[in-house]
Amino acid sequence: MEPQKIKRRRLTAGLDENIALLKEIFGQDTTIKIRVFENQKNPRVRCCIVFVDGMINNVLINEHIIEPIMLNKFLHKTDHLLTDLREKVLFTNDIFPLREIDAMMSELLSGNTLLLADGFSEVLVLSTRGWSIRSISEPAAEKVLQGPREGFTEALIINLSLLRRKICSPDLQYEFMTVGRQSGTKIALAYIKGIANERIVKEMKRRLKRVDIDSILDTNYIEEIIKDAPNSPFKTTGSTERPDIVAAKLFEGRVAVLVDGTPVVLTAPFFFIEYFQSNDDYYSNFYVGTFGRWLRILGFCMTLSLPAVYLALVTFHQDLLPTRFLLNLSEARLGLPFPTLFEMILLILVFELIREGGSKVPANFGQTLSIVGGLVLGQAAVEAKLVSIPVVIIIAFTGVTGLMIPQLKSPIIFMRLAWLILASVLGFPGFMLGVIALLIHLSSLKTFGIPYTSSLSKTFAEECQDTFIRSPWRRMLVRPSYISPYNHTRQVPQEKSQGNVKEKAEAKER
Amino acid sequence: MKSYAMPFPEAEKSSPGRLFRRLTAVLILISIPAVFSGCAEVKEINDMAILSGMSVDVDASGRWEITAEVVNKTADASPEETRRVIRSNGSTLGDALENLNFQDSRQIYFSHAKTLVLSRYLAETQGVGPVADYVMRNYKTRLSMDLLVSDLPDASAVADLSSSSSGLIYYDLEELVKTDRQYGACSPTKVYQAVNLLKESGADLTIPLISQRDDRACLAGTAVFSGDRMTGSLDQDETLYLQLLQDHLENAHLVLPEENMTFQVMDADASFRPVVSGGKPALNVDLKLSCTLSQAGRTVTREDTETLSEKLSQLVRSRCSALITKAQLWDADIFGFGKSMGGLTYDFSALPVTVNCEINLKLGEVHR
Repeated sequence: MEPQKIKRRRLTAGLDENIALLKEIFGQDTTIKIRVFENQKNPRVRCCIVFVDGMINNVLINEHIIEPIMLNKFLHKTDHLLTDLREKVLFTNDIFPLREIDAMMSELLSGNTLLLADGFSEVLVLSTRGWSIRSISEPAAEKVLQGPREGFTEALIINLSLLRRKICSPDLQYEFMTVGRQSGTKIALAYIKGIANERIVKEMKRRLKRVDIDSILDTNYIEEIIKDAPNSPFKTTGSTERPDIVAAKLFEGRVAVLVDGTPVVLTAPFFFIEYFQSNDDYYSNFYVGTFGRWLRILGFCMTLSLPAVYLALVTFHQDLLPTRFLLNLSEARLGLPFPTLFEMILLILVFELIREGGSKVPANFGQTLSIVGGLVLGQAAVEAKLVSIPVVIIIAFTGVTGLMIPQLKSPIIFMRLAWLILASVLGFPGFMLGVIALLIHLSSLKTFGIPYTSSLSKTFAEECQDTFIRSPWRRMLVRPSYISPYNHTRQVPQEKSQGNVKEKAEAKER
Repeated sequence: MKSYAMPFPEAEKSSPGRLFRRLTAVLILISIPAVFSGCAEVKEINDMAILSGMSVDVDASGRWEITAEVVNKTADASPEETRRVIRSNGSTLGDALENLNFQDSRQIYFSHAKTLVLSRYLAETQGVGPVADYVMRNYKTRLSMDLLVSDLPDASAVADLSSSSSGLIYYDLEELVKTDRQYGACSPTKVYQAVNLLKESGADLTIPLISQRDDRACLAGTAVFSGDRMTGSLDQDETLYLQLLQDHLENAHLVLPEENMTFQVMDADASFRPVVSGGKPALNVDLKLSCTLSQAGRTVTREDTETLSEKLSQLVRSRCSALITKAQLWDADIFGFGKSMGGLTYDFSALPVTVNCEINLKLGEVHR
């Protein structure tokens, strides 16, 4: 039955008519179960439960719904039968009445059970969800050496509980919405009242309400629709599968969007520096954290620049190369048929093909694929004089450094190629044009009204403590003011435990 | 708060202004390769004949001859096969260098040429000026090439010498100059330094002199120039004292043959003090050396310190004075006296020069 027609229909007081309507709505779908039963003592009390097979807890239905109604000796068919059932008979933790057909369908298809009674045109919705869900495990793409190993699952309710465990505060607010005309996907907007920027919360609600699409199967659907710069390869909303990361971002004043059916959670706003921040930085010593961050930044710069710089040096600016290196390059390129640009593009393409193939291949074949891809293809291509060894090394290094930050995959692929082509046309000036274009683009981006490079342009030490370095926790006293302008203080300054004059004096007196 | 999110259903609105902007952007992108010359400047390394260095000769009729060494490296090449010698000539230096391009199927690449060798005849007749001028004007050649003067019959004979390490004689010469400089055996001069000295007043040019020992190149001293013409040469011993007077001496050694002793120079300092003596300008050269005894031919005691210091000082003073006299005969102020004379008017060849030398000698392990 068409959705518009469903909306126009109404339940009647007759149970059989209502059952006929439901059968008409669901057609031949055999997963929709309709169970009619009546009270043993008073057969006039006829009820029917409707549920989706495989989505409900069978024990709950049998023992807490059917059994109490069938065996209750005091049930009578009165005007307040539904109220009696709700308040005195049924053993479920959540029951509420509904009249609208489309709302009933939504509840039914999300795992709840509908209880219809003869003589009533409204139903009771019973919380009976019991489908199988994936166990909580560490996300494969966000592993840490040290720290929590929980990850979100596909069930929204589980994810909300995981977040609630991290933030045991009544200020943690959840606001629920439904998006997706056909999918009816439930989403939850989470933020900490008093810390989150009210404007960002309001803006996020506005954008989510404007999402008008038939289905939402992943947060990426929402992300692409609500992002500030749809054509930019850079994200303006963050995504993660880890509850600890979401909690940390909420504590900084951000908002989070959790979507039912996917473990990926969106956070906003999202700044450029966040690409280089990892939760590993916060779970280990600040020296290690800072060094790790620098490595990621260096890796990012190298994966973008190395092919273009090499190409510019080798084809335009050979004067800048050390003589011995130039001679070795010259020797390595003897007999090669293709220009350097073609070699590099070919190898980049091969690397991306191997990477893409490797991400889909079963684990059993992974090792084989890496051996074939790395050793055989690379070695064979060099010996067949298709490519030169320096280019193989450059592209291999470029590829490996590109894997350091998976979230930057799409901008890296795009920019690396663009810079390579610019360098092939104009040499170093072309490469610099590419760098300038990137800087201009990043500077012009905004995320929920806040400049994308906010954290990089601040000059106050307090605002820069979690950008290029990860300051010790005792120094991170304030939240970034550009995210959370209201509740700025994160912690009270701690006195040093060593060399404290007052403590020493007290110890001496004792 | 202004929102920058594009509402989903309204994203595809088009307008004449937007279309015009897009067309403009595409036109600009297409015109970049056409307007900029970048694409035309692309050179693949394997399409270039890398020049390691060259020798310049001129014959009595004024015809210029260039002998150059081109790198020809392959993985399995022997040292002799890693290079190829090409020659060209022309009525001018520029003509000869341009004709060099016809001697190899690949494009000659000058930017990594390290050494430029001039023949003695060229240095004495035409001088360094024309060569340095060409290198300055030509964007392909580097000003950081080492200048050398060949003491062989022709500068082109250098290209036929054997290489000791890299297989490329001109790169070997660069390494030779770099290494020997550390021991005071030569005073290296690059093209840009030669140009600066020729342009300025107060100092004259010197260029290392190379010769042949067995079939390999070796340094044979220093060529002395007055202006841009070569007027004489110094041997290796004189070159060491030249380095001392130019305040460039690093790790040299001094020998007292009568004592059978060798001294290592740890530190050397030279300064010039112009004086007016009897109404005429004169110059005092003050040398300060810190030396240690590196080899003793006999038993030494602490009492020998003063004696040996005096003898060493006498040696340095006499050698420096002889060198200065020689330079004055050639009228070549190769020490840079002119820069210290200030505004005084003087004739270098008749300038009274007094050399003072102070030796700080450490004998090290001594016998009591």
